[in-house]
Amino acid sequence: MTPDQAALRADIDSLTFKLGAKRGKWGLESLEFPVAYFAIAAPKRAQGPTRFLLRVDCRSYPALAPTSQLWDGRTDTALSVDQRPMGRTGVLVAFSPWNACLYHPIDRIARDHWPNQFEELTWKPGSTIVTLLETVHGLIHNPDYLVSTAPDAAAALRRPLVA
Amino acid sequence: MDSQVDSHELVLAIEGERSPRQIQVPRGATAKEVIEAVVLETKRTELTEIFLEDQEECLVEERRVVEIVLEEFRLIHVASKGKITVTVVYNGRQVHRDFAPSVTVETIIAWAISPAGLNLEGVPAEYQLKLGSEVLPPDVHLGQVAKGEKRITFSLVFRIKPQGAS
Repeated sequence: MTPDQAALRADIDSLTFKLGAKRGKWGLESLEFPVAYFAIAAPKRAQGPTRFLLRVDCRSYPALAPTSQLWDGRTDTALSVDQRPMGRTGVLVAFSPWNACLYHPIDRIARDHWPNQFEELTWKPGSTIVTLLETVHGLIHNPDYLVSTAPDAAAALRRPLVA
Repeated sequence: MDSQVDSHELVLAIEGERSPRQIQVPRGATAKEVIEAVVLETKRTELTEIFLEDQEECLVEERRVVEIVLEEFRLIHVASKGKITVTVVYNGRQVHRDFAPSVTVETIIAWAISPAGLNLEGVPAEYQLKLGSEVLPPDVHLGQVAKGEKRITFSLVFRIKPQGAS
């Protein structure tokens, strides 16, 4: 096992991660290093799934920030834009199709889009996979999220699970 | 009887420690016995009270703890005697209130924006508490971030929402 894989495994085995899982906030769906899939619980909305699937690329973890996207387990591709969490004016900014990543300063790919801004939201020494999951859980549980047409089935991986 | 079957891995927060701990206790352990187990493990004899998450009153010594968390998961909090005086600062205004160490950040935000606090519009999920530059998760306990002190000051901010780059 490589050091980055071992570090991720240790953080997934940590009590802090398990506490979030016990609270029903997230769960590990599959780990095929460097990619991990997590289910993120969604709040109840008039239309929307009970959870979203998050695909996270964790190469060089934790020295490099992960990069992640909402995923469709049925097709094994990024969740289509029209099924992502929507607010009053369309897809929530963090889930916009700007690139194949989370459009948020914590994301490895998106970080440079806000130079010298939002330092408190970035991936830092001491950040763990729980930091990312807390961030995504918070984005989905914000009142800005109003609706999603994604079905629950989109959050289930079709291939055999590895953990 | 098998001791593994007769015991339970109890997840708990301890005042002054940011990360939760897990300790093994008998399934029938009372609040008093759980505190004794925590003191044995931490060597911190000042830990004398045990709370359910977001409860202001501690459990009575005879209360069986495991059966409560098995019914519905709630993080247990073990603390020293005394509440924590919280100051919340927002736009140059500040409000104060004493809370039990087991109270969550989300509950503090709910109070801070309520008419009893700063009387702000919106719901708790639209706000965040910051301790220095750190944005605190909503379900962390007050006692987990107060570093063992009985007084703490937070900044209340609107949830930070990065928009498109300028």
